[in-house]
Amino acid sequence: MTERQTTRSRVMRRVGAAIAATIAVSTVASTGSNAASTSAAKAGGEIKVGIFDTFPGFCNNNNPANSSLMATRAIFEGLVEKTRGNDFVGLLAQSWAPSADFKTWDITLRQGVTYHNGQVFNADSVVSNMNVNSGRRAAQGIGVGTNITFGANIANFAKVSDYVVRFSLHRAQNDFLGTLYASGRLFMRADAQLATGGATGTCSTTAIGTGPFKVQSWNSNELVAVKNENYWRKDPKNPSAKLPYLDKITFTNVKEGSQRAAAVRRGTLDAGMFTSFSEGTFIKDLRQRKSVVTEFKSPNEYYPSLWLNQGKTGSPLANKNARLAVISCIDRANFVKVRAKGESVVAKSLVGPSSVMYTTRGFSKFSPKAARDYVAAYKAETGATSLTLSIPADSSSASQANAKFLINQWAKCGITVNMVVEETAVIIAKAFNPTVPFAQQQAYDILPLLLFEGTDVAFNLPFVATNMFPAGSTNPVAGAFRGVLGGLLNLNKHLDANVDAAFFAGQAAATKAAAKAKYQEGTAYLQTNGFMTSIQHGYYTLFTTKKLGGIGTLKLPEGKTQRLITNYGIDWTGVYKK
Amino acid sequence: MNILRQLLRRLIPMFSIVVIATFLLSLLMRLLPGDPAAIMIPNGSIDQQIEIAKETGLDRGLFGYYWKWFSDVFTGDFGKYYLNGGYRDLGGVIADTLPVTLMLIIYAQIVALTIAIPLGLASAYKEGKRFDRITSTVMFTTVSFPSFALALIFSLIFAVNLGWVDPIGYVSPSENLGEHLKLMILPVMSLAFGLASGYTRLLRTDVIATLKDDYVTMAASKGISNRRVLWRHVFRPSSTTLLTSAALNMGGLIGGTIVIETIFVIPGIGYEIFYSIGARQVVAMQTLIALISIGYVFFNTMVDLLTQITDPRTRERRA
Repeated sequence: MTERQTTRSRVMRRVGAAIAATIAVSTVASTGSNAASTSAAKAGGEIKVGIFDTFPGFCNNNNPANSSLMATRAIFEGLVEKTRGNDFVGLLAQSWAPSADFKTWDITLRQGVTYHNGQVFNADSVVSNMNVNSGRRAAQGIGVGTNITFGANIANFAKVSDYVVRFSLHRAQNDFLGTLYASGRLFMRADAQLATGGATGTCSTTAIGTGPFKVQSWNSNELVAVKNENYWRKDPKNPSAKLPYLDKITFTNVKEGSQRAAAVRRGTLDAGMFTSFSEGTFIKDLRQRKSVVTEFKSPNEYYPSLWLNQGKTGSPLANKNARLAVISCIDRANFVKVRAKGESVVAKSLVGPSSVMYTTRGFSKFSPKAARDYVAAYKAETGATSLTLSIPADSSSASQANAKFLINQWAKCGITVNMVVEETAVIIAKAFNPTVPFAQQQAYDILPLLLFEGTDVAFNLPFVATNMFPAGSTNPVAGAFRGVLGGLLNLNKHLDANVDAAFFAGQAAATKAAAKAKYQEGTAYLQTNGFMTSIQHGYYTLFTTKKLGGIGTLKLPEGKTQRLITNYGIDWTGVYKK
Repeated sequence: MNILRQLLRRLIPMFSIVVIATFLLSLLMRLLPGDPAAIMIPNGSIDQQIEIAKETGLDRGLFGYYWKWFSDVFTGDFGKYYLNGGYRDLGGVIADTLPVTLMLIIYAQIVALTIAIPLGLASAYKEGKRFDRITSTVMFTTVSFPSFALALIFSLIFAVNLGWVDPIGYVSPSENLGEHLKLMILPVMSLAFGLASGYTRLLRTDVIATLKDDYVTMAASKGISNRRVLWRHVFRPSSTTLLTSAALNMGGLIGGTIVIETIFVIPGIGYEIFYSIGARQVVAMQTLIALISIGYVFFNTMVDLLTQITDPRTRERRA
């Protein structure tokens, strides 16, 4: 990064103009590639893309992370997509019509779409997918996972005609499209993929979507995707051309960030994805090489949180003063400088300014004195002689260094926090344990985890609501899953109905302004009562060689432009090799 | 016949060591915290987790689990990667990846020995002289570098700065031999340099000792050239330790490839072990790590036999 750019970004951060920065980056990137795309778009060619995640499989409950989700999205498509203006627009859905009370949504599907195996995409197919996504085929061992929680408000769904599906909801939900979007991961899969599940099934190992690419081969570290010759989308700027432009993309897990960066610099990889949370050094290095690479950077819309567990038996964090002590003793600016190498932004709210949930109200600032006062108040209220907590870290040096950084700060405020070193998979298994009662589902006092993201509420809500299945739910799967999965994602393990009230009221509001006010009220409540906090907000970025064109320029079917890049990368449909 | 008898005599202890090593591995795996079935498919239903526990023997005690795993492996069922709604057969994964790793290890051994043998012989022959001092210093420095550090340094110099080779990737020799060899240069050098340092020092020590033997003095006094004495009369009996060390390193190198294959994105067994550890695929992890211990025992036995061929004195001692 040049000195001028560094200064500019510092000034922007100082004035808190994150939105301005986001728009600027998006505009520069899209304008640059736009100019090249229309004249130079050409079909053919193979490319290699370096990612930093492994491939866990292709069923709805495999939950591929970030960069492997990017590869998965080249194979599968969902009903809706999100534009750069953060509107929801149809992809496999053509249009929708909510009832006046937002409790019924009729989704009209796009015609002329087929899966990779020739199956026609229609209402039957959506019903089939929703049966899996909602856990209704749990008896066949397909689709059961935390993903069911996201659709817990869906009471029922049914085919109205060949291309119309009706969703009936328990609660009014004006942002139901956000549920269908599910942060870009609610895909439609062919019946052949959904045929069998369980330990020996095909749902995870067979990938049959409607996307621009088909799976040629895959293993945990590599996915080879080849062109779907029967893909349905067209490039409005080049209507005679068949999409996608590329013949083949090989997505490879290059775990070591320095090697991923080196491979992009040398051109061994045509593109490589990076995260600001742990790869700032490599990002900065690549950014200096403007003659060799082009950067496509997401907004700072990824919000890691420290989840404070109130539910654990005897947890000190059931006490509000204890929680406020913890979150008042975090020097966020220093953390960003030291641990993130300045590549993330200091959090001023649980979410970033572009989120409809954003408010700084009640967000605790760094104040060791206030923290010490809260500790004293906690001791006075409870009779405790100390405030002792646990925080997990995985075996990576970065994770442990992050934890140590915070532990040292907390120690200065009279808070003792012990680091528990465990593998990531164990931490996740202990943080979301469905086999024990609600209060024990989360094993740690303070859990650092990136779950909040984006601009809307639908994806974030299951992590803060007490139980996503409404009480008295008539959802046929609620009986089996309400007690087990309904509150599993609620990592604070709280039972405070005020949180639900604020966010659900926002979803039921008649106007966007009213909804936003309620969401902000909910965020302020979480912040004021110290349910959780955030230290830094970060981004994901993709560096490509100069050989690639068309990134972020292909219009969605209804004319608007898709988000340039997110945590799950870019859309590869309109990308071509120059 | 004698060699065959020796081989048969070693098979029983070899088998016993494999059993003990893999049993201890099972024990360690079972000592890891958490329910292994739940960790393998954290998003799976309780029924699926029970099904997997039953299929793998994780629902039994330690001995029951071990017997299930061992008998399965013995009959060619190496286990599976369990996904949330399906599996990947580990037998196929091993068939694809093991040859890649063996190739990498063999290349590394060839390069290491090619560097070490002439250097070790020359250093010993010129013991105490400038060449010996320089070689010893360089080798001592190199051996103190871990292979992953060398890998990153080599990548930075040869791939990024000089642009001679690609920093990542793999092509099979049947597909494109030239490209295959080119892509293997950095990983092989990363593994071989440390090995070569150790081998050079071992050989040097043994050669120095052998050079002081009477039969060497006798050979030299007969007027045989120094080169011939070194290669014919000194190197062969001095190579026992080197050979043992090289064979023992074969098993250890499979472990060493975990990091190297991950750094250079080589689809070998090391890369799979790295994945199985990260994904906590307990059964796969056990099978893959067991391969290392089996390899270790196998190569150790082989070196015992080879030593008897190269050095008749050991044969006589054991007879």
